[in-house]
Amino acid sequence: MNQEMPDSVMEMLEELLDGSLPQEDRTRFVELLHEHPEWLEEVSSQLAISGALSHWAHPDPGFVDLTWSHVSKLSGEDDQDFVRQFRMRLVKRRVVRGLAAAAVLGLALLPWFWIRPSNGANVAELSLTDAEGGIVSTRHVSAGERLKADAGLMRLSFRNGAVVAIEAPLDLMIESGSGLNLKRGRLNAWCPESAHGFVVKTATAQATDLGTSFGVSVGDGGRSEFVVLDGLVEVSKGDEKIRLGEGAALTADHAQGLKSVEFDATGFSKTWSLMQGILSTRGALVAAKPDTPEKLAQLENDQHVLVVPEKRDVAFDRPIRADVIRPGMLPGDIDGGPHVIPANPGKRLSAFQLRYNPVGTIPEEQFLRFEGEVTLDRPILAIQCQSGFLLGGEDMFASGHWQGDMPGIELTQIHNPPDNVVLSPDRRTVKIVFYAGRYTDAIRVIVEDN
Amino acid sequence: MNARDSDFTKLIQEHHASLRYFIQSLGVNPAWVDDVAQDAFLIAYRKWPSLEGDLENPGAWLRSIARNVVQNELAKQNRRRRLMDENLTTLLLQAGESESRSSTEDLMDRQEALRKCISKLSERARRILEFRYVNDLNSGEIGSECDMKPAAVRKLLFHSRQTLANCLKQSLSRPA
Repeated sequence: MNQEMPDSVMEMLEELLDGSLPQEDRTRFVELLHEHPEWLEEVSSQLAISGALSHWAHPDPGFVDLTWSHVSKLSGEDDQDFVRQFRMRLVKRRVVRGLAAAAVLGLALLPWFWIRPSNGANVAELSLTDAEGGIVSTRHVSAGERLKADAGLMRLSFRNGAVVAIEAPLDLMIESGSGLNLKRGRLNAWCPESAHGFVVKTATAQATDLGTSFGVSVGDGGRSEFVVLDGLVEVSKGDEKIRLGEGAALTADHAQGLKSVEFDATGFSKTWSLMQGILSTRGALVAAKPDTPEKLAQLENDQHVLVVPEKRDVAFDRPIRADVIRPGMLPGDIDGGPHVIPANPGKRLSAFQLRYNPVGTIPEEQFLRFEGEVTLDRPILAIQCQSGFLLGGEDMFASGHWQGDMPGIELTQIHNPPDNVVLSPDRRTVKIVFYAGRYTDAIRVIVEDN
Repeated sequence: MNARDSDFTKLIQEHHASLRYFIQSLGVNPAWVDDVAQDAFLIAYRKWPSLEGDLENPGAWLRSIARNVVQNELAKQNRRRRLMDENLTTLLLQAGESESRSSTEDLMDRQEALRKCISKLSERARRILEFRYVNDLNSGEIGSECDMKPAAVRKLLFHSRQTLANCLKQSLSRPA
């Protein structure tokens, strides 16, 4: 029997569209549609119109060029290329299992030059890193100060909360406590609510943060590239203004206006990792490549356990349940909890997932061994290792929609030794050993922001 | 660019908007709609040489490719997350197979028609749509801005989209 769609179902659809429909209601929503197939056409129409309205609100004239670029680049690959690549990666993994030698973030620290020191107010703290990713020095910088360097990686922590990581060769001017002028170099900026409106000027355009994470690079010819990883940025050149949403990119040069280009943030890997607070990784652990939160949540990789940043600057307004809350090894000298850390409303928190999410699957008796470590810039408060704790932290920390299973790690296994996790005495480094291959193995590392 | 590639670029130009709306109508997560559309265009390009000149309805052909891409998403354990909900997509795919309804998606590449239809909505509805789609606010945030209950905002959004869909259908049925 045909029946009008009731308000409660309309509401569920609306919550589905804005991403707030809880899993149990989503299940109920689908059950209702199953019982009332006459509503499906309306649901389909609502989804399509919603897409049209998004397009109307945020037109993307570059889509045709980007799609053609994608098609022409990939049309030469045959369908089996992917399978061959996967097999090759597995073989390689077996050869290089165990700790690899190289650090990810290491960049030699070469001389930095402070030009035109200013007597203005201190507006930020400057941190320099060494080849191993360690912070070797910090000092205050002032408005009006100019920084130049031929090589290296540094971070500016502004008093308003903005964090900017910059890769040399660079030349920039600190204009104020809420903006800088990048003449040359590559940077990633993260701006909490207190820093919205933060401005990065270049010779050809300027970006104004509307929240929360973006990258800017300026080459020798003054050509600027802007990529938005999260939230919204307004890019302007003269009278031309474009609001750029996450997953979008554009360029500006002296000869022409703003031009949409394919979003590719891989060039920002070093600055993005440092901006997130990942100082170094070793062995099978590597920092994820920069991308939007939705895509980071879905990243797959056969060869590595990825360090994936989750939400940042989260209010510590509810208790946290975790397996590890003090230095030591699990399983070993730490009992696995559950430990509960009571809420502390004065504190802000961030989280990272250390996640092995393979493209394919491998039988348990042939699982691969992944060993590695990551060092962060802030003290680690807790580590959630088992499924229940991870799921309990999803609402608070997950930045993308994770719809698969989240089994955590296995502290007992039939064919392999247990996975294990070690928190260092200084609470900055996590070392992991995962035996994995079939499902996602993941832990969540929660750090204190202040 | 050779003539074949030029023709294909024109195909993308003419159909990308309607194809993306179609993909979203199958319950693909909005963040992944463009990726799925690009996958569909890539498959279309590979098939293009054998079909060129024989295509009576390129839009329907592209939609059938996109439908298969979305269907494949259901089969891949690790990629189901591209979908808002795999069970919802299954239902929408099944419904599409059994119906020959006129496709709303066909209408929506007419941006001008959409703009006209939006202008016919009440000022309040237009304001709510602007908050939702231009400013990316959720119903709770819109409710605070407009002094409305979130449930009332959700209802108004639903009915506004319903009105737009009807308006677009009428605009197609009228002679140009």
